[in-house]
Formats: sequence, structure tokens, C-alpha cells
Amino acid sequence: MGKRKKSLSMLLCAVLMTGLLAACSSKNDNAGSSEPAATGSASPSASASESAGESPSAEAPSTEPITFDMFVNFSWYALSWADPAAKNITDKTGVTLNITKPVSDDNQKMNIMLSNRELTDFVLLDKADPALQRMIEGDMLYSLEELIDQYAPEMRDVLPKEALANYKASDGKTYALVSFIEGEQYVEAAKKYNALIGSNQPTWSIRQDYWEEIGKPDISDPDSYIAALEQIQAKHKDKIGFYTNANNIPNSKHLSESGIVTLGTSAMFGAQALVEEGGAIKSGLRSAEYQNVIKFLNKLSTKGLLTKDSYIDSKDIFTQKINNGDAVSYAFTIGDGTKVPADNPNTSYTVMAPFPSYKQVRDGSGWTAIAIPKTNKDPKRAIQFLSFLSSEEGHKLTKWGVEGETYVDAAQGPHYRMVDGKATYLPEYWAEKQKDWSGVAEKNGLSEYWLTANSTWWNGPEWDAADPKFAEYNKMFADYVEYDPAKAGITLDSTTKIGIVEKKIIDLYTSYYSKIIFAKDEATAMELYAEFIEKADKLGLADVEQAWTDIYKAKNANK
Amino acid sequence: MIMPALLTLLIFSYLPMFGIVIAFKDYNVLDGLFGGAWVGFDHFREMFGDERFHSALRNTLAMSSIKLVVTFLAPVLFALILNEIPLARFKKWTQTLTTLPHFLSYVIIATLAMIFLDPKGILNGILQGLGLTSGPIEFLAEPGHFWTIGASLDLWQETGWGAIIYLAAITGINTEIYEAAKVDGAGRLRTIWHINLPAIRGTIMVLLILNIGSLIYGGSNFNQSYLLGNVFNRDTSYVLGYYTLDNGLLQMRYAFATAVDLFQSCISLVLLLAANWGAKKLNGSNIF
Amino acid sequence: MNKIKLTLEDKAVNVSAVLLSFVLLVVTAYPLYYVLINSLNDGADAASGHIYFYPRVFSLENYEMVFKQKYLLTGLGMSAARTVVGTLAAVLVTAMAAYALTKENLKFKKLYLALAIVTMYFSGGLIPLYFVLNELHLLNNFLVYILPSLFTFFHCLLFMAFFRELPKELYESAYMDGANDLFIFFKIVIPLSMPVVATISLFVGVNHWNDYFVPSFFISKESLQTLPVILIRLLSLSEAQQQIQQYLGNHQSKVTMESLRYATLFVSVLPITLLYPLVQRFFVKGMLVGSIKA
Repeated sequence: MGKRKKSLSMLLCAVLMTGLLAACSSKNDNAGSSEPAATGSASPSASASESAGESPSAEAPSTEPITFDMFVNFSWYALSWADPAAKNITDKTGVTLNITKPVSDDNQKMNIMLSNRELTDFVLLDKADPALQRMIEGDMLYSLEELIDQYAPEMRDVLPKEALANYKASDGKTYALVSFIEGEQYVEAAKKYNALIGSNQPTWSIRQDYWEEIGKPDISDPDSYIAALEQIQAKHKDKIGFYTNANNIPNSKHLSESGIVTLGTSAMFGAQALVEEGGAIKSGLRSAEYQNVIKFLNKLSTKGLLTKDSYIDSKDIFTQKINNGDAVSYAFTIGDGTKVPADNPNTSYTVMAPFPSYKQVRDGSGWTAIAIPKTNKDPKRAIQFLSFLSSEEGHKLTKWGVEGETYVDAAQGPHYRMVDGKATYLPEYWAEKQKDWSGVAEKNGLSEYWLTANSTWWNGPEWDAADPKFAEYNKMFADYVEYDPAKAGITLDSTTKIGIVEKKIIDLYTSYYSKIIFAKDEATAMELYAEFIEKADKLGLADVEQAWTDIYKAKNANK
Repeated sequence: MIMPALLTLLIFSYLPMFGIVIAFKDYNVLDGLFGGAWVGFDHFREMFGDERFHSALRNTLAMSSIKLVVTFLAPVLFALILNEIPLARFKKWTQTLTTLPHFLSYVIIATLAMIFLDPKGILNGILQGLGLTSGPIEFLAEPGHFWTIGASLDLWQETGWGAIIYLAAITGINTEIYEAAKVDGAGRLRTIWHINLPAIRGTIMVLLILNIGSLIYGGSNFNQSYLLGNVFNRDTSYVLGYYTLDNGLLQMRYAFATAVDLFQSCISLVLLLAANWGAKKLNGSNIF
Repeated sequence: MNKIKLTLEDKAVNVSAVLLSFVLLVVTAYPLYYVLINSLNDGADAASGHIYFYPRVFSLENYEMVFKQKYLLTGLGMSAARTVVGTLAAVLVTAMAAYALTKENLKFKKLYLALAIVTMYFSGGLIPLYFVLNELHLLNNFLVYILPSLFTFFHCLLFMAFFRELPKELYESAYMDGANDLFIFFKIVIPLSMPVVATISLFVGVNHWNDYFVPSFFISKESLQTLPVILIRLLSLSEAQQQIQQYLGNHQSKVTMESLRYATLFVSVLPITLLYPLVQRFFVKGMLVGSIKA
């Protein structure tokens, strides 16, 4: 290459680099100030809301076509706004959603967006996602109150009252709308329809044929359960006595996760991760219920009824083994509690009645949250859109479907009819939906856009007080379920000093719990347990508890 | 002629490198790239004082070293063996099919491995059937087995693929040399030893040196640790990549993750230079 | 062709070579066979496992789901375009640089080498890279698949190792005939290095084909997405059901994840394996013969 060519290209390089650096520094100036997006002027449509008794969405906000970009921080999110339900929503509101999501769940994409302050029009993420906290701190979101009061005041009547009361940030404003809140309104409705217990209720199941073989003895409390398992195991040495799926505890992000204290026993022993004692929050690891859990598991393991499989196998392998009939008894949910084992198609697993110690505490605090960043291109339309989705009419389009009496098919419906003032799915439709959930979803798009789902209206159509199976389950379990919203949202920020301590304690726990469960006898197990608590205290467990208490007090002071 | 390459490096590798400075700051994602308070070596201090870091470092080094020893020569041997197959069609098919494991995503490999190594799985079945063991061995539940499993998986996955580059080198050998050797009465084995091997020696050295450089970084360590690691084998399966993910990215502690990465980079560079220097001294051949 | 008498050694070597290869073949090919038959099995049935020799409940459903996936065809096209263009460009740039680095009289050679080595291990990380790409308007741009990966020092080193083996007489005779470096590179060096060019092309090509990192962070336009990302989405669909079950209750989970995953794997692996015969054509002996004589 000629000398001249070389120096020319060197010059080019230099120029390029200088140019880039110049661009960098100018961008930096902009990055500092967050541009306040245009706050709309007083909109005439809001004043048209003289709707005392009318369905809230009946006012006419603009239905001009507009496309909003929505980033969903879940890699498994499957929606793409291309089905009939989406089309209906677009027809009604003019809004089209362009949905993007990351490929992996390690927050990298979110980090990139945050650091460049380039957020999409909507952001949907887990309500406890630390990214949400970052966005609030960085003053990047509209507060819901502001937008609702300006453009969509009807929303206050539509949302469950907890939505705008329980999710306030430290400045007293709510920045994200949470879905699936199970508040007072919901609990009442659910109890009325025997639907407090759904197919996702955690429970244990036992193999019917083996149980009958030994004469169906009582298994309603831990000791008799263990005795029965022993009898069965004697006849079927190659089967796993008690099998559960608890392989992810080392990856827990917070010490307040229930999996840490239940260790795979789900709700059977009523162990809670956070325990309230005289106004302060303590870790469930110190509680008596937790000690019962480890004693029980240790007993099972010393009798050869619990194998390491429960703490190693992935979910897929867990399901494989259950379907194969490799377990005498397993812990899963009601929906998956009646599998047919492959080695004996004439029998099935049955759902066991809960032990007296069974307790499930739900905080009813919902699941995902949707936020409107200040970079949103049209906040007025945005909040009106959310208002529509949150309304009953919105739920009709996203969940209920078409009203009618005689079922035709999944695409045209009809899907539901009104029974005693409540929308109820036609049994034919519901059966088909159960058989092929995603296939049907593709055909009609129902049940897929749960962005701002109101649990009462969302789950409502599925409740059929007449369903005998669920009436039975509700009788079995309903008394053991409690709601405690006060303990919702007590999560520490992982980037703070106390968050780091929390992670260290989780890692310490990881190195202990398997040894405790599989210790050679109860005495050794409890010794190891005491050792763990001692070391955890040294690392700062009490400080973690104090941090939890502070958050608890702050949240409940606002009420 | 070197300009395009140089430009690419400068723009896409060096320009972003200013981001390394984050390792020395208390960086909050919102601060923008040039914000955040300077904290010097705080992150490194935390790292070195952390017992989990040391355990992860130890495991990483151990696993990589074992893998290097076990899997380095296998592709070479396999290439040499493949080259000797007289049936052209069989040779081509074998070469193609044995590279396929390289393409499997690690999620699949992990599931297959779990099924295979299950106490009631195939491997245990074979071992017990042959009478080599009396009871099932819990391969994934014993810390002592993890490194062996890791190395075996690598061997299985990369031997076929790794042989490609050596095969390419062998086919580049001048056929006149083979003819001359035949005339001199050399048999197959001697041909292999005296002609094939020396011809690929250069390639072997390059790859060996580069592999030593990647002892800490990269490779299958992270995937194996994340997907096959569990609470029982954690003592031997927890590696640096997992440590960074766990304590850096997932906790949104971006600066800390950068610091750990920076440490790994430095060590890797040192290892590479040492290997290169060592090669020069021992062999006279090095890559730079 | 005259029949050459095979010595005992010849026969022994042949037989052992074939046997050893066969063993390795079975060990590596069986797991893939397992994946294949499971992908051809009905998802729900496959969830019980223990399918070892042939599909128990044959079903093309998994593959149907793959091909029904939106943007699959554009994804395939994008992946192909990216692989072809990206490989050609990268091999060209890298080989050129390698050639330059093997000449002793290259100015600043040590500097270049040092610069390159550092980039093998040090990187600023994802956020600064995103920033740079943004400034250069490479985001959501086909070129982001090509430009940043034009040069990989690892491949450069492999090229260098090969180029060093080429006899110097070749260059000398060409210089004497008045040729410059570019001419030598294209007319002499590359044709003689076909095995290594083919190999590196394979490495680079496979990387381009399987990469999901670049499209997932730097591309948001659907029409520019490549195959791996689209296939991952398909797996998401299945997983989404399981996730949602927690909150919607009242429905059965149909676990099809594993067999679906296998089907997506096959769809992504097949095109690459079809490329193999092409590559193997270059693994032909004796390209060096005749060049010195010429």
C-alpha cells in the first residue's frame, strides 16, 4: 500500500474519531436534562365526561389512529397485537401497540434503555422490578394521578381502590398501574362464586392405586402421611416417595421469597418468608413453622422417602417424571394434581386434603405494572387507552368475547352469557379453551392482553358456582387462605449496601439448606440450622429485618 | 491492506472501551455514561474480600485447566484418524455428523445431560448392568463429579468441530512430500508422525496459546455452571461467569460486573503473554 | 489406477481408523438422533420422556408451529443475507490484515499486534457499544450485522499461521515479475489457502447464522430480525402459558416446551449442515502442487 494512501487513511481515522468524540460530548449535555414531554392542554374530551351512570368508556376520546411502542420486560411474552381481539381494540380506540421485548431476562436491554434515557411509550414489567424504581428515581415517568385527573378522571371509579392507594412511591404519587390486584372487591366476589381457589392453588397429590393398595389410611397430618408413604415405599422400592420441584432456590433474588422458607413443601406447613411481630418484620427463617418444615423434610430424607432429585431436576424433567408415574406423591397445583401415570393408565393421582398446618397468605398485590414514561408521544391518548382497557368494556374485548347463548366456534363465539348479572363463559367454549389454550388464543385473541387486568372482571367469566369439582376444592382449601395486603411490596433495593447483605445471606443459605435437609438425623439437622442462623446474624440478618420493618411502616403509614 | 481491519478495531472495540472506566465508579444506570462518583478500587476491594469470588475463581481455573488438558489433543488425534480413513464417503459423513453437537444450544445439552446422568438414567443403567457399580451414582449431586462431567461434555461437543481446522491444515500438505516418503519406505504410522504432525504444529501452537489465554474467560464454564449446577455441587460448579451474573447484572450492579470483568480480562492477557513467551522459549515458535 | 498392494500396517491403520471414527460417530450422533425423534413426537406425550429409538406418537405438530411463526421466512432470509455478506466481508478484511501482518517489513507491526491482542480480552461492555452504534446510526440497520464483526483477531492468527507456511519463493518470483501486494494476495495467496479460507468462512458463517446477541439488543425492526431471535420467541409462547397460569388459574398447562425446542433446533441447524458439502470441496489435497512449477 502506497505511503500516501496510508497517511490519508490515518487522517481519515483521526477525523472520524474527533467527530465521534465531539458527538459524544454534545449528546452528554442532552442526556443530563430529561426533556419534559409535551403535557397536553386541557382536553375537551375530559369535560365531556358527564357519565354518572354510564359505562365509563362511553365518552368519546379521540379515535384517530395512533401507534404506541410498548416494551415488555419479559422474554417469554408472546403477544404481537395481530389477532381479532387486538383488532377490535384498535377499531374501538384507534390505538395500535407495537410490542418489543428482550431475548433474555437479565435486564441488559432495560439497562441500555435507561442509560440512554430512551424509553418506549409504555413500559410493562414486574411490579417489583428494580428497573421501575430506577425510572421513578430518575424522574422519567408520569404520575398516574396527574394524567388521570387531567384526562381520564373516570378511571378512579373503574380501578380497584387499591390501585391508586397501595402503590405510592416515596413522594406519595403512583407511577405504575398494577394488574391482577386482588383487593377487597375481588375477595368478596370470589368468595361468592366459590372461586377463591383456582387451579393454580398449590397442593400435594398422591397416587390413587398405591394408596388403595395399602387400604387408604388416613393421611391428613404429617405423621400419618409419612407412615403411609413408608408402607407404600416398602412395596415399591424404585419409586420416589415425596417429590417436589425446588431447584431454583440458589437463584433467589430476595430473602423475602416464599420458596426460601417452604423448600418445596409449598403451603402445607404455613411457613411465611416475612413474619410480623409486634409491628416489626422478622424473617420467616426464625419461625416455628419453618423449623417444622425442615424437621419434616429431614425425616423424609432419613427414611429414604425424599431424594435429591427434588432439588436438582428442572421443571421439564420434573413434569416428565410425574407423567411417568415415578413418584408416589408430589407437590404441584390443583390443575396439575390429577395426572395419569404412564405405567398404569387406569389410575391417577388425587389431590390430598391439606394438613391442619396448611396456610397460604396472599398479599393480593398483583403481578405486572405498566408505566407511562415522560417520553410518551401522546400522554392524553395513552391514559385514555389504559382507561379503556381497565373498564368493563375493555374487558369485554380482551377477555369476555361475544355475548350469546349457543356456541358456534372459538373465533366468532359466542363466548359468554350473563348469569345473575355476571358474565359466565359458555361451557363448550371453556372446555375448548382448556384443551388448546394457545390455539384458541390465536383464533380470537381473548385472554391474552391482560395489561391492566382487573381480577374480578378478568377471572369472573371462568367462575361457575355450579362446577362441582371446584366447589369441592373450595370447601377443602378456602378456609386456609388469607389475604394480607399490608405485607406487599417489601423488597430491598439490590444495589444498596443492605441489598448486598441480603444476597450474601441468600448465598449462605444456599450452602446450608441441602445439608440441613439431608442431615443424618434431626439432631444434626437442627445443629446445622442453629449454625446457619448464627452466621446469618453475623452477616447482618437483623439489619435486613430492620430494613424490611422500615418499609413496612412507611407503606402502612400512608393509609 | 490492514486499514479496514484497523478501522474496525478502533471504532467498534476501542471507542466503547471508555466504558471500562465504570469499573471505578459508583455507577447508577441513570447517570449516563460519563456520570457517577469515582470510587477507585472499591469494587475490586469488595471482590477480593468476597469468599464467593475466591471459590468461583478457583473453580473456574480448575475446570478450564482440566478441560484444556483433556480436550486439547482430542481434535488433533481425531483429525489424524479421520485423515486415514480410506472410504471417502464414510469419511465425509463422519466429519459432518461429528461436528453437529457443536450446534446444540446449551439448554438442550443440559437437559440431555440431566436425563443421561439421572440416578435412574442410561449411564447408571449401563454401569450397573456391566456390574461396575452396585448402586446408582448421583452424578449431578456429588461435587466431586462436576469437573469430570464438564470436561466430558466439552470433549463430546467440541472434538468433531475442533478437528476441522486441523484437517484443513493437513490437506494443505504438498502431496509431493507424501510421495517422497513412500519412496523412502515410510509406513502409515511413520507418515503420520513425521509429516502430518509437523505440518499442523504451527496451528496446534496457535490454538494452544489462545486456549491458555481463555482459561478464565469464555468457554462452556458458565453454561455448565448455570444449567447443570445445583445446590449439591455448588462447591465445585460455581464459576466466575455465574458470580458476575448473580452479583452484577441481576442485581443491577452494573459497575461491579464491569469490575469483575476487568479483572478477568487482565488475568487473561497476562496468561496469554506468558503462554506466548513460554512457547518462544521452549519451541522457538510463537505467534507474536 | 494401478492396484497398490496394501501392507499389513495399512490394513491395520485403516481398520482402526474406521472403528474409532465409528465409535465417535455413534456417541456424537445418537444424542442428535434422540433430539430428532423427540421433535417428531407429539408434545404432550413427549413430556413423559423415555423415547429412545423412534417416535412414540408421531406428530409434525412441533414443526407446524415453527413454520407458522410470524416472520419466519423473513428471518430465514435475513439470516442468509447476513451470513453471506458478513462472511465474505469478514474473511476478506481479516485475511488481508493477516497477510499484511506476515510481512516483516510492515511499519508499526508490533503496535498493530498489541492493539489487536488487547481487544481480544478487553471490552467496554454492552452499554458503551450501544452508545457508539447509536452515534453511528447503525442501530436498526442491516450494517450492524456486518461492520462490527469485520475483524476477529483469533481468525487473523489462524490465517497468519497458514500464510507463514507458504514458501517465500512464490512471492519473490511474483515481485520480480512486477506484481504488487494486492495482486499477490488475490491471485496467489488466497487460491493456495483455500482450506483455511474455507474453514474460517465456516467459523464466521456459523457465528453469523447462530448469533442472537446483535439482533436482540441492536435491532428492533421486525423485518430485520434474524432466525435465532424468531425461534426463541416461539419457545416463549410455550413458556408464556406456564407463566400466566400462575395468575389466571383455571386452566391446564400443556407442556410442549421440550419437543418444541428440539424442533426449533433442527430448523436452525439444518441449513448449516447442508452447507457442509460445499466446504468440504475445498478440503482437497494438492492445491500447492504445480504452483511452484508454474
